[in-house]
Order: sequence, then structure tokens, then C-alpha cells
Amino acid sequence: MSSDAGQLTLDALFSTRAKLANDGAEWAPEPDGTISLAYGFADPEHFPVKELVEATTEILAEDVNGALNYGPTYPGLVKFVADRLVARGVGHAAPQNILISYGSSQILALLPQILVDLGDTVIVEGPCFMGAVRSFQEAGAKIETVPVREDGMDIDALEAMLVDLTSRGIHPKFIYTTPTFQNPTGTLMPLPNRQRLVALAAQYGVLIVEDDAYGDLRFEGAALPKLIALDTQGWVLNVGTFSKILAPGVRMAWACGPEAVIKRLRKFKVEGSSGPFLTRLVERFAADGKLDAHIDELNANYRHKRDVMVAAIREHFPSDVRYVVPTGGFFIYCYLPADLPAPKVVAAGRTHGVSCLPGLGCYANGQGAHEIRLAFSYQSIDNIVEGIRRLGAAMKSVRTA
Amino acid sequence: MIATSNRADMQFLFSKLVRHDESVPQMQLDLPQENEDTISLAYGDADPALFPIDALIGAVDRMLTGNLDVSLNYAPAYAGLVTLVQERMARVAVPLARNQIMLANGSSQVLSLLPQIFCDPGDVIIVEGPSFLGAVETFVNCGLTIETIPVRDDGMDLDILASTLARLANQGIRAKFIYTIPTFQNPTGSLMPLANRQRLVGLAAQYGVVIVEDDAYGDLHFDTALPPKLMALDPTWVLYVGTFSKILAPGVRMAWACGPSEIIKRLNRFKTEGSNGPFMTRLVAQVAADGWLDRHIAMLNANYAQKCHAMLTTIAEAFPSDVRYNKPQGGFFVYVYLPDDLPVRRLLPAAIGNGVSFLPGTTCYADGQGTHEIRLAFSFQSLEKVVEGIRRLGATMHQLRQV
Repeated sequence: MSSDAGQLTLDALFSTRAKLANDGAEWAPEPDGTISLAYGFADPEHFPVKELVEATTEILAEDVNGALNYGPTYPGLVKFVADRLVARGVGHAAPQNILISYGSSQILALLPQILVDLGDTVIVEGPCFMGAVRSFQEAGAKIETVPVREDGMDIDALEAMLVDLTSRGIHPKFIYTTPTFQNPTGTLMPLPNRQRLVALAAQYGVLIVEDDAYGDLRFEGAALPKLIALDTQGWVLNVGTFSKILAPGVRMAWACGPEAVIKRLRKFKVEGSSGPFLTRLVERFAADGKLDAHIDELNANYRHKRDVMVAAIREHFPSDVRYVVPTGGFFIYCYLPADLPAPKVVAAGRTHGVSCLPGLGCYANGQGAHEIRLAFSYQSIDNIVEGIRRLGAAMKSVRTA
Repeated sequence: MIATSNRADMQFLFSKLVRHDESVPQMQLDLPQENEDTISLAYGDADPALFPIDALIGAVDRMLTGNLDVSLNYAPAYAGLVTLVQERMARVAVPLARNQIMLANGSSQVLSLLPQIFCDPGDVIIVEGPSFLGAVETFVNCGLTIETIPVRDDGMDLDILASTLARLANQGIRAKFIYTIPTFQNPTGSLMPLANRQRLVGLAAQYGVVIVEDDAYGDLHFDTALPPKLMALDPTWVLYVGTFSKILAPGVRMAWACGPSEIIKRLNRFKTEGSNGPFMTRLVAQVAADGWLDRHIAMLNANYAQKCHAMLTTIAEAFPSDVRYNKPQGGFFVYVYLPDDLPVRRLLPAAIGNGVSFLPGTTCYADGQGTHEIRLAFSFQSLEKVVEGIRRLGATMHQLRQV
């Protein structure tokens, strides 16, 4: 029997999962001359260039076969991450419950593969990092949103939601939270709330995914325990990254948590290792206290930029714009008065040569119409001042229009 | 109502994908247990003496004196690396649009994504036997139904492929893809001639099956003219997979897939980490620029040809005369067919006892064949070690016969 090629389409060959997948979204470029306060990029003035070149030279001189031939993720990097977590109170951090990945977004994209079936419930904060939420939604998750207050996720609201879901026979798969210098609000969840959150997860049998991307970027105050450090029953997955403390462009992150979860993440990370060369390079850059020294330098810089942005906001924004001064992270989050809806402010900002992220882009449920996120991480001091001045002028133009 | 739970409940959280994955019997790879003194001829690692250390350091230095936003910040993969792939593919196959190319973290990533985008449980794919053990293991462990087509001295046996496709069509089954390494095949080193290539792309079009052309060794030819890539003959049904592993370094994990944009689009969607990142893509492009890569490949080929020649010469001297083997004109491997009285299960422990190891043929088959076949890599060891390793292996064969 010979088939008729005219009827054989390529599309018919794809798997059910591949047929269901949507097209990805792309970032829209901004016009020249715009001061972008929209994205949480790292400060390019503080990339450790000399250290990266030195680290490259060293790893190739010491073990060129280990760095450049086929091989696993460098065990030294796994140990480095484990030791660093142990030093921060995560007593159970060990190589078998750590996975090194190509960026934390890889972990956040693998999570729904291993945890979510179509229609399963996932709990997220509102507002939060929507890059993560989109990967949950694409896997068919039903998203429930818990509000974020000045002290992070509203734990009363979370508990009420868990009670309600349970009463309806719904067992949510995981709670996605950024308790430390949250994206976008910059909030820091206090210790009693952290303890309560971890206890609720164990009580209801729900995994907590603790996105700790900003955990090291602390400008003042004492460090609070990570959720995973409070976890005695194995319900917390901590996701950390070298993006903010080394460079986003190297794409290197980790997950640490219950072995049952790490084991599956490892299996579904189909390419296997995260590269002998890159993992050795990052370890060599970070080893012997060099990472912590670099973080100190970054925090002095970002603290100053935060202060500059806060001062500029005081000078240029209408006095009824509310915000919380963050004690770490990359962002200041603003709550706008009723007559300054974010879409209008963003549009006016564009004509004034400044951009920011509208709160609508931070919620899974369409909230955020009067909220904007401002990143102080990327722009120079001068551009931060000028950007805020332009945005203040844009707000005034909306009011007088 | 208050829910209570304990750790045992965590099982509940995992998805159907996980439960399916864990219901599939996993391939048990019987890999040689080597020690420090073993001369390993088992693995197709690159020759570490040929790694371009200075070129890599120079490239990192140059890229980090430029615009750091595009190399170290959040940024897409470097467009220049895609351009480089476009130029190479236009030279050896066909011109491609940018949306027909995906950069990947190693070609094994592409191979692992293939079952995700093409296969539902029970779907049929076609692979060569023997084939690349990493691909075979991936496909077996996904629970796919695998049809194995034998490999001859001139590559995949196309008569058997044709009859297999016809049989499947009669059963109402349309295979999803044919995984082939037509150029210096892993593990056999065989090279598929032009007439067979034409017939293969014709069969793919006739039956509407994607050909996955793994061309990992396509640049590693010693002194022979190469037939055209499958993609050059008819790109309609060909997904081509190329890699910088053999021509630059495996440790940088940089490869590409190219072909129909509908396939590339889906591969991109299932590549969980998004782009390969600006740093590594710039690094590879920076190293390869200005003809450096082609000069490097010429140097590699001179070295690998020498080691291949040394291995073949020593085999002719040291192995019993009834051991058959191919004489590859490229790639990394010599493949050996053992006589009946020298099965791998006898040869391997004795060889390791004598300080040499190899890859058992059984690891290269999805269906347990290869009990009298072994793969010898000349790529990794120095020329002296290649010669010494083959002498030890030959001595082992003779010893086993005297017992």
C-alpha cells in the first residue's frame, strides 16, 4: 500500500501536548530615549567582569577536560549552594535535594509539568511575578490569588482560601510565594507570618514554592529565616538564582527542597546537566567568599539607588501616591489614587519618555488597575531621577487633562 | 473541615505526566566499571589535548569588554550565533529562515524534546540498530514503541526500512519520526551513500514521517568527500540536529535544531529554560568567528584521522583474524563484530582485568541485540593510549581463546 503524500500533513504528527501549546509572547521593545523603569534588569555597571575572565582562565588551566568535555553539573557548585543554604539555616540542604538549572524560570516552567494536571489549582500572590504564573497557566492550572499586604501575603486570606477549597474537595498543588523583597511589591514577610505559612502548607498538604530571587539583596535590618529553613516536614521548595547576585545572562539557578520533588524535576530537566563549563565558571566566581563580597558591593549600590528613587518620588509624585519603602530587592511599588488609573499614567509616561510596569501585568485576576511597578535596579542614578521626574510630570498631566 | 496530611500525601501532588513516566520500565544500561588505570575506549569524549583554551579565554575577554547588557543581563540568545548556523547550513544544506533554527543546550536536549512534541504513549518511532545510546535510552525510557532498523556497512538498511513502513501503513500506523545518523554513524562509523540518502528522503515523503538527521559527526571527515546532507536533498520532512560538541567542546553545551518552522516552534515551547542565554551564545559565536571554527575543524580532523589510523593498524595486528570491524572515514568510533566464542559478557570483565574498557554493543540497541558487538572510541585517549589499549584488548581476546 502506498500512501498519498498530498494528505500527509506535518501537523498531524505532533503530540496532544504539542498541539495544545500556545505561541510564546515576546517583549515589546521601547522607543529610543525612553528611560525604562519597567524591567528588573541588573545594573550593568556592577557586573564582575574581571572576576569572570579570571575564573575562566583558572578553570581551563586547572582541569580543561572537566570543564570542556562531556560531564555532569559540577559537583562543586552543588556543594557550594548546599553549604550556603546550610549557613543560612537550611539544615537539610544537601546535594541530593538540590538541582542546578538554567535560570529559575526553568524550575518554574518544570514545576507545572511535574505537579499540575489540567484544571488543578495553584495559589499565587496578587500581585506577583507573572512570568511564573504564565507557565502555570499554560499547563492548565486554575489560578487562585491571595492578596499581598504591606507585610507580604495575607495569611488570613490564605487560610480562609485553604478552608474554602478543602470544603469543596479541592486540593491545591502548590503555593507560589516570594516572601523576601517580593516582586513587585518589595515586601518582606515577618517571621510569625512565615511560621504560620509553613504550618498551613504542612497542615493542608500543599507544596510551598519559595521564590528567593531577591533573598540576598538586603539593604538593612536583620535577615529573616527562609521558609525552607522553617520547614521541618518537607513542604517547601526554595528556588534561588545567580541572576541578581552574579548576572542574569549566565542563566544559572537552583532549587532545593524535598527529594521527592527534586528527583522529578531532575528527570524532567531533559537536557541533564547545566553544563560543565558554566557550572565550574559560576562556582569559581563564587567560591572563597568572593560571592558574598560581591553581594555587599551590590547592596551598597542598590541601597543608594533605592534612596535616590524614594527621594525623587517624594519630590515629583503627587502626595497621594502611596508606596512602601522596600528594605531590599529591585522594586518600588506604587498605589495610585482613583483619578490616576495605571493605563493612563503608563500612556502619559510613554509620551514623557519614561516607562514602568502597570500593575495589571502583575495579577492573574485582572486587578492592579491603580498600581505600577518601578525598578530602581537597572538605570543609572541620573536616569532614575530624570525618569521619576518625567513620570511625576506624566501623572500631573493626567490630572489636568 | 480541617484537612490533615503527612509526607506520604506528597505522592498525591504529582501530575499524570510523572505517573506515566514512572510507569515506564527504564532501560538498564550495563556500562563498564572502570578504575583509574583502565584505558577507557568506551566513551566518545573529545580529545582534551585539542581544546582551544586560549581561544576561549580570549573570547570571554573580548565579549566582556563590549556591551555588558547584551552579554550578561536579561537578554535573548545572541542573534549572531543563529546567523553563524544559517551560514553553515546554507553551505552544506539549504538556506534557512531564523524561525527554522533553535539553539539548544546540547543536541541531547533536542533529542529528549522529540518524544514530548511528537509522541503520545504508544506512538511508534524508528531508530537504527545500533544507534547513539543516549538517544536509544531516552526513547526507550519514554515508553515509545520502537522499530529497530539494522545498520549495514553503508548505514541504515533501506530495504528493511521500506518494508517496515509498508507493514506499519498496512496496520494503519504512521510512525512519528525516523532517527538516523547518516554520516559517520554512532556507533558503527558508517557513511550512507548518496543513492541511499535519496531513497530515504523519498520514503519519508511517501509515508509522511519526519526524519531526524543527527549530524553530530558531519564535520569530522578525514580524507573523503561527503555526500549531501539529507536536508540538502529534500528539507520538507527533515529535522537536522547539529552540535558544537565535537567541533568546539562538549562542555559548552551548544547545539542546534533546524527544519520546518512548525517543528522548531514546538521545540521552543517545550524547552523549559527559554533561550540559551546571551553569555554562552555570544561566547560560542565569538570563538567561532572569522573562520576560526573551520581552521579548528581542519586541525581536529588531522588529529582524529591519525588516531583512527593508529587504532585500525593496531587492531589489524593485535585482534584475532576472525574479528570483523569497519574502517571509518570520519567520526569518533570503530565498531567491532566479535566471533561467537567471544561474547561481550566474557570479553568485558577480562578486558577490564587487563586494563582496557569499551562500550558493549547491547547499550546501543533498544531491543537487546549487540551481544557480540563492541564500540571503540579513538577520540578521547592519546595516540599512545589508543595503541596500548587496543594491544591489551587484543591480548585479552587471545587469552580467552586459550582458556
